[in-house]
Amino acid sequence: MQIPKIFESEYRFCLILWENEPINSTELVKLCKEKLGWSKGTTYTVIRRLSERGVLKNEDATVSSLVSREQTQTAELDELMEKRFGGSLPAFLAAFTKQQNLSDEKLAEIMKIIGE
Amino acid sequence: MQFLNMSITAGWIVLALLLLRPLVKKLPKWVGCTLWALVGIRLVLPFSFESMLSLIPSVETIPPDIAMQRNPQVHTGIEMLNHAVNPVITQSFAPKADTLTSINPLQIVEFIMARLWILGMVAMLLYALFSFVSLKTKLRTATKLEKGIFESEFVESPFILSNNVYLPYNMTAEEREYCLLHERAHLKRGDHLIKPLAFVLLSVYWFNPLVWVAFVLLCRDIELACDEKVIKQLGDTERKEYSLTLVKNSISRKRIAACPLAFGEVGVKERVKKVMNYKKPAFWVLVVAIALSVVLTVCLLTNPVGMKITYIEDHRKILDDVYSVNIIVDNETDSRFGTNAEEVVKALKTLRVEKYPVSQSRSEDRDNANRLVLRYGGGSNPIMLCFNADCSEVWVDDGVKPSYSYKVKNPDKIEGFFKINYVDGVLRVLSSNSDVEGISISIKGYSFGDRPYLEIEWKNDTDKEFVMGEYFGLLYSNGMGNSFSCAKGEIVFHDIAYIIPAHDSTVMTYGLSRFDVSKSGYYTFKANYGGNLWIDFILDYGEFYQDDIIELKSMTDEQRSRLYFDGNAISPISSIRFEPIFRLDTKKDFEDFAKKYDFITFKNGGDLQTIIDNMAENIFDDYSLLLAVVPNSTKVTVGEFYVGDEGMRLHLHAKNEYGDERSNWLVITSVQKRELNNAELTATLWGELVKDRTYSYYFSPDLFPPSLVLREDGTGSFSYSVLSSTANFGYYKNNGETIVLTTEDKRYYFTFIIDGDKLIFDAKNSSEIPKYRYSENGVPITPVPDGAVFE
Repeated sequence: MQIPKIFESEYRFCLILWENEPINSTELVKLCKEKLGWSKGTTYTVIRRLSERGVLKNEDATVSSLVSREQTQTAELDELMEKRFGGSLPAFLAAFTKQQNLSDEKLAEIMKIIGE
Repeated sequence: MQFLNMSITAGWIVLALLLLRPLVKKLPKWVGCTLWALVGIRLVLPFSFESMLSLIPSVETIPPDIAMQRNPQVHTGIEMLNHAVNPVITQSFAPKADTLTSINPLQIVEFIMARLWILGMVAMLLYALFSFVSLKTKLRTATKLEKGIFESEFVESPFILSNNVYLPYNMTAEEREYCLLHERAHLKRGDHLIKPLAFVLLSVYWFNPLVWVAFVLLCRDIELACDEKVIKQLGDTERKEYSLTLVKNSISRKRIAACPLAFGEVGVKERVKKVMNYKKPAFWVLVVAIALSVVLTVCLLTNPVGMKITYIEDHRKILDDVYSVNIIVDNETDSRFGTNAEEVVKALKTLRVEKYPVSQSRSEDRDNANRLVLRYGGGSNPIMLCFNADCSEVWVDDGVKPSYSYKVKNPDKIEGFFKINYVDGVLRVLSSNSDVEGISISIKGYSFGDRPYLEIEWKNDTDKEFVMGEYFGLLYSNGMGNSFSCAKGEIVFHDIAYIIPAHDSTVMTYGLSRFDVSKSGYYTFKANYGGNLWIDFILDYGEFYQDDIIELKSMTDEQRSRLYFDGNAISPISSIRFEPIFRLDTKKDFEDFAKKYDFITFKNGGDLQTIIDNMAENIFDDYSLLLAVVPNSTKVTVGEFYVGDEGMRLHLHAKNEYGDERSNWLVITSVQKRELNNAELTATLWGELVKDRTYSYYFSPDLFPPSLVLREDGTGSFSYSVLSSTANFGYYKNNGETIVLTTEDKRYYFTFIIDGDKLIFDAKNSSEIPKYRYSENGVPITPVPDGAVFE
């Protein structure tokens, strides 16, 4: 599934949404003002934009997401892999583990997760 | 136009600062910013103080009226530059005189340039507005990091916008630290206000490339100064980190972002170098920096002061050595200052003159009609100090080689000497008329003193532009229906066309030096452009001239003793029989005096009431009247009139040839009030009394009583009918029984028999008088029959 593009600032907004959904839009506006420093107009504009893009839906003044956090994360990883590692998961993992200086235990843990 | 001159002045500063830049590299950068402030101030303030240390060549490079000049020139203040530039300007922009009507090119140029300038300014301000607005919109979704600090994906390198700092996402904490330090330093310095202000100035002066240079360099200096501020607080390693951050955040954007103060947009290489090499400046460096700033401020911010005239062309000692001064006005020598040199020299010493000459090539434009001639020290060769007509320029002529012309800064000091004893006329407009549809003229200003002119406003209410030129005429009317042209000889008009745009107006100044406007009376200003336009007005010089003489009824001794000088019965000071002088300072004074002493007639005709009614209201604003009584004389010549510290002296030479005891003649002269209070001046006056007698025949059938005028000097005239086009003027002889008037061409003669104080016309011994028809069916009859009694 093609995940819609989300800009960085919109992503931060989504973080708030994921943590508090489903949420009344007025509440959401208050939260955004507090955490992001956004005005009411800005928040509503972003809500509209993201709903047009299919990232969230706004029904009866209640906002809930259509795309989950995990989905977004996966989409971005896919993009990264495609762009920088020619779509090769092994290449990516190799680079990743090298970078991270993992201990053997940690490595084993990861292998287990992947297996799942 | 003023903006143009201001930007040129500022341009000089920019050039100076550019030259200085390599020398002051060692100095802290905040000095640099202050120096750019000098440019800013020059661009904003139209005025400034004068100082001897000013390095600015000229504050008024382009004369405001250059579009009206026949030989347009600029005064850059630098001789060589003038010399190089002016011939080209004059060549390309002087209105051509050989074509029938040529448009004054500079008017067109001015018009276009003014429009272009406004366009450019508006364009730049709009651009700034748009970029500001669009940036603000994009940043709406910037997420708050801390109070006053936001992050946004649209930010490529950190900047400040409306007091908030905007950073890109994904900065390391370290980077963020340094950026914030830098931006905070900007805020503390007030750069977020300075840059927009500078941009506004840039949009106003966009046409001057030096201003762009200044702006770019200002931006650079601001960044560098900011870096310095940050660096001061950092240690060596931190500095390295800082410069790395600089590099990381640099972008190759070349656009000049007017609003945001970007972190990395300007000259990264230079900034890194500076950062790495930063050393806290030594104390002496700071001292030098401050001293330099002060010096430069004085030199560049102040206007050039006028030079004293002693230093022109090395004639240093001359003013201390003058023993006589003559003033030549309108080419006539006025030797009243013959020996009173100190007065003039004192004024000359206060004269200030611009440091740099106006132009070398002005000699043919010089007006040699007004000059001061100083004789000094040893030698009979006078040094001539010459002024042009309005005393705005001066040059020195030693008879061999005239100097350059210098612009006079305070012409009012000298103008007074040229203005003595000129009576300024007062103008009253009667009507303004026009044959040309939609075009009207009116008088906006005038002077009828020693350099007369009229300022006429032309108003174009049509939808089309109106073309006119310099052509005009001035007519004088003697009140009896005849108009004469006032031109003194041939007037040459230049074929230059002036355009008045639709629904616009312009004021033209018409010099009247080639016209005789010395008489009070009715005048008409007339022009013809596609039809006639004219203005009728009255010119009133007041009723008193220097040689006016009034006849008084016989004055008793008691009355005469009541005449006193200035309200005090002080001892008489007139040298003729010690008659006192009476002083009138207001119109009421005159009325009172006239009524008290019963004036009879004025030499120039008219009765007292008419004189009072027609007397200009404001003649007593600037003038007082001095009256001296000369009893028992019919011929009075005023020899000398002197006003000085000890009082006034009127030398009268009076002759009593006719033994007419009826006469007590009052000599009136008008004196400028200011001269009564200061200065010494001698004026030569003369007055001559000419009696004449008019005899009229009141029973004539004619519309106008025929009259015979006999003058004391033997001339006379006889006019017998208003229908006749001739007034017989000639000479008369009184042989006791008859008076015979012979016309000048000796073709006609008229005899009158003396009968007491009446004269009786003797037709038999006179030339024939034509007959006229005086009624519908009447027979032609003579207007003066035989035996007509003239009284």
